Amino acid sequence: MVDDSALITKCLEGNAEAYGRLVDKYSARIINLGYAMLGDRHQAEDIAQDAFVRAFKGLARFERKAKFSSWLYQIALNLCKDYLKAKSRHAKSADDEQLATMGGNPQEQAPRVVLQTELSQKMREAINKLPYLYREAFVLRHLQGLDYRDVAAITNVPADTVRVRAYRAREMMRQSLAPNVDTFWREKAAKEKGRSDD
Amino acid sequence: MAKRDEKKLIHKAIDGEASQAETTRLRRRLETDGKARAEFEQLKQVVKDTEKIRIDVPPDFTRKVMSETRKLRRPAPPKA
Repeated sequence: MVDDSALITKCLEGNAEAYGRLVDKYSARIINLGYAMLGDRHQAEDIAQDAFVRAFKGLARFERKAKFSSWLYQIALNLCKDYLKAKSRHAKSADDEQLATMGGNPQEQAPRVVLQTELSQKMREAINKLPYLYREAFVLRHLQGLDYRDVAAITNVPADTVRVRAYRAREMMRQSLAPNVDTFWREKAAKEKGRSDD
Repeated sequence: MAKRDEKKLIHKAIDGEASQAETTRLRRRLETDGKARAEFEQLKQVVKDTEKIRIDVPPDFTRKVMSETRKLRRPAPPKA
């Protein structure tokens, strides 16, 4: 298997197929990173595409002391951060407009709660509720399966800080999911029992 | 064991970073403390379920990226 550095060299020499191989190799990781950070499949795909295009543009400047994957993660995470910032600015101004026209009762604007029974949906919601830095540490550690040293290199903070963030994120996830985990397994067991009774 | 130490140890074990002695200490603790055991199991479940949240890459993803990169100037190697 050709390593990333060799593919980058080929790419810089004008071999377009070499970059395609890097995209093939990392697309699942980058799309899933975006999906976990943003909770939206289409945004995740757009951001992943943008990340690969930006990486291509900056390939000549990439210092090979770091891993290509870490650099790519950094580009994608910066794009996620920018997207969330823009989204929250937009949401804030939309909220302000609504409050102005409604006489300022935020209760009247509470979103309708949609009941979802699927645990995966609950998981995604719980991840999206995490504060950004905790979500970043949690997703890189558990969804991407990176060790704390790699997460530290990507996020540019000490490994112990990342460890604490992941620890707190897990606790928050546990607390927000605990009733759902129980309910899910109870429902699943009941369904399976029903099937075996048929 | 203090609650704070217990939590630390549980997370260390979840990360696979607990030593043999710590693992034994935690196992003993979990055998006698139902609440700690439930927390440990829930944390393990959170991590396990997180690993399952994945979406597939669209089949034309690489083609789309490559079509965008073709519009750009080829990245040149740094000058020596």
